[in-house]
Amino acid sequence: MLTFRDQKILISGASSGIGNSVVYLLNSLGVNTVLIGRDKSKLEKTLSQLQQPENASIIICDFLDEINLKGEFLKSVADSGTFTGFVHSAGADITKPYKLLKNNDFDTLNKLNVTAPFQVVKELLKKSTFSSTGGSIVWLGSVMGSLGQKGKIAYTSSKAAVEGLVKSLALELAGKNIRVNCVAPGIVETPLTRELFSKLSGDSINSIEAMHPLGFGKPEDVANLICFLLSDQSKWITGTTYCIDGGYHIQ
Amino acid sequence: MNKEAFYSEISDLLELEGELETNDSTLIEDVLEIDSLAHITLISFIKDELSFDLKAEDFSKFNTLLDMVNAIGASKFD
Repeated sequence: MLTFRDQKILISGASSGIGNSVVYLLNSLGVNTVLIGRDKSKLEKTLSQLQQPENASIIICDFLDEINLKGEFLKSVADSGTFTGFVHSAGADITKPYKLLKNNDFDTLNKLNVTAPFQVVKELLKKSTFSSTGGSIVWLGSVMGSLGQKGKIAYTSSKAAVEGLVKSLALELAGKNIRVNCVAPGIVETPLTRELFSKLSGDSINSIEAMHPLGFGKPEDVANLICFLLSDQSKWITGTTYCIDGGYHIQ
Repeated sequence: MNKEAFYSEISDLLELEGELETNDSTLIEDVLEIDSLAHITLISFIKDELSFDLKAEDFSKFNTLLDMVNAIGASKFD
């Protein structure tokens, strides 16, 4: 049984996919959550479906919008109380062969996966909105952070950056008893994956599925691991990337 | 971009020169079987250059490159 003592967790990408599953799971375990997302109606829908909606609140923010990420967003976070955790689950996919890749594609993914969430962490710590007793930060990486795949140059480089960031940040924050870890999933059945698959041939999708010996994952499969990393039971784990991919990387 | 330049770009992107000529009557299935990334290459190229959204399933509705050009719309080409 996972235990969470007086926890309040900030979750980006909370309105769909893995982030959304994390919200439902934490809420069912009685943990306070603050949900970040771009789409107000989707966040409100999630809020309305929670078992304990009184334990959750929402903040609208697009991590790709520099202006949005400052001022009002940070004030909303600061006004939400003291956090013990942050899950960065907001994500995007860019799949293009090298001939079509532009610098802007790298910039978009680096901003979403690395610099924007890093800015959030920095602000949480600067404004003392992170618990002085410590806590846990979990970044969504990808199995692609340590492997290659055709068409995934911008994506893999950005997810590899996440793995590097997590190791160094974990060292810097260990003295504050803040743990930093990365969860690296294979293909999970999310809206983002459906969007990617709409651009691939049936043969390509079948071959990708064949590379996952346990099949594609469900968002809740990954949410379970993230919640473990947020819980008291993982108090000696930091700076690590956990691969959760149905066996993709072992081949 | 005019239609001929569009076909030429497709040929360059998928490295079709010497393998397949790209013109109005080129069969889509011949283009797509060149490379496992052909679907996503075409979809990304058409999105970036012509601001037109295609899905992989749309290709099954086209017989030739001209069918695809017609689906994208003449207004997208010079």
